Amino acid sequence: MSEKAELRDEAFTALFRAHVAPVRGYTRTLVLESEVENIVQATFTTAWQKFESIPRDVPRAWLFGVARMHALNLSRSQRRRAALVDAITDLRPQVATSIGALPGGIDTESVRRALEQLDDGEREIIQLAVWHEMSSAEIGEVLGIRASAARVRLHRARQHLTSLLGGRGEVET
Amino acid sequence: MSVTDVFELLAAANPVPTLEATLPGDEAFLRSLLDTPVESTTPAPSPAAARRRRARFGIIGGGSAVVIVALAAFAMLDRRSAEYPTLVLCYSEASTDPPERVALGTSADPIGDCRQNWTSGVFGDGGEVPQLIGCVNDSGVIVVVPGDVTTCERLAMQRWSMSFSDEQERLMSFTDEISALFATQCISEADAYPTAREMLAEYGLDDWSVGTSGFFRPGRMCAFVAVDPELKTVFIATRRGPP
Repeated sequence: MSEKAELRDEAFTALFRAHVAPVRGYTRTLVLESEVENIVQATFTTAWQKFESIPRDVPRAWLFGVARMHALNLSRSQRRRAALVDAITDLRPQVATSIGALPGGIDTESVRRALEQLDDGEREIIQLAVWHEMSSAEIGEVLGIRASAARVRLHRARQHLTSLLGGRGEVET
Repeated sequence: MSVTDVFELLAAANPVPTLEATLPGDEAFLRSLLDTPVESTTPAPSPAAARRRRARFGIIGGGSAVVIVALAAFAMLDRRSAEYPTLVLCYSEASTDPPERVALGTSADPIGDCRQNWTSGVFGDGGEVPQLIGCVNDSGVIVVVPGDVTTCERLAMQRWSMSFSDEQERLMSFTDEISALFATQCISEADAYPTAREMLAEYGLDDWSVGTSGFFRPGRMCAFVAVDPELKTVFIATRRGPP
């Protein structure tokens, strides 16, 4: 094996080990559990083939973007299949609204309902920002939009969520 | 009771860490990948990269609404203007030089919003609210003063039409949203310009531009904006950021 190939293998191994768990976690918010491993493997197969294209500053966002693309393709094909048997359903689990336990005294149900009332795009961008702690640049990489557009969309999603929670940016605890 | 920011609340309820996991089969899968020949074709760009090739434009900035209004007023008062729906002035007297005046940002109800200065005691003693009338000064700014239908003419102003055009409504919505965006986030000066352009494009304000206000100070890290309808420009400045 050439030195160049060895270096590539080492770099990819580091990338894989650092990001396979986050990619799996993110994928679980996109598809049913039975499809998660297919998406994870497809994502890293793409990463292996396109390793030189991965931006070194935001590799996690790039991987999330690829996982999202594979999940959308899967969702479309499954929807087509489902249509054949007249059983069209939304294949995406509602993980985004399956929030964990909130601190004592908080009305968890009202927060969950507010999240449900957001549209998919709003939920997704809030999820990336809050739960995956992504910057606007990273969110833009995942969604395939400019960082500035991501920033504006996040602002609007936050405003919408705030209005659904009673029009304030804060929740009494 | 205390208050918690809604995003902080959601962060506390983050389910994602429980979803992240490595599995026993990961290393085997990694080895199989490393044994897979890399296709010799040029890697296609990711969807994100492909979309980013589209023409880039836009930026933004934001800051406190009060400062925005002040800067907008500064930019406007030394020149004549046709329309300034993004600024409303409340006067405590029917005079062109009242002892007290309050500048508001955009207002869908200028007379109602100025009335609050009287009911809250900013003007007068918090008692009876005088009759108010909306005028338009020679800079094109709505000025709400105590008076009747004859007052505007006496002050060498015109009576306000009491309505906004669709174009003015759009400009007001733009001003409100871009101000809120920059007030609620610490956006760097570098990010401010594309963000402002992005929002201008979304509102179809294609003939507007983004410029610098010159109000930059050392150590101030967050951008804010001032909207100048006459110059059709969003000015970027900086404010003090978080420690």
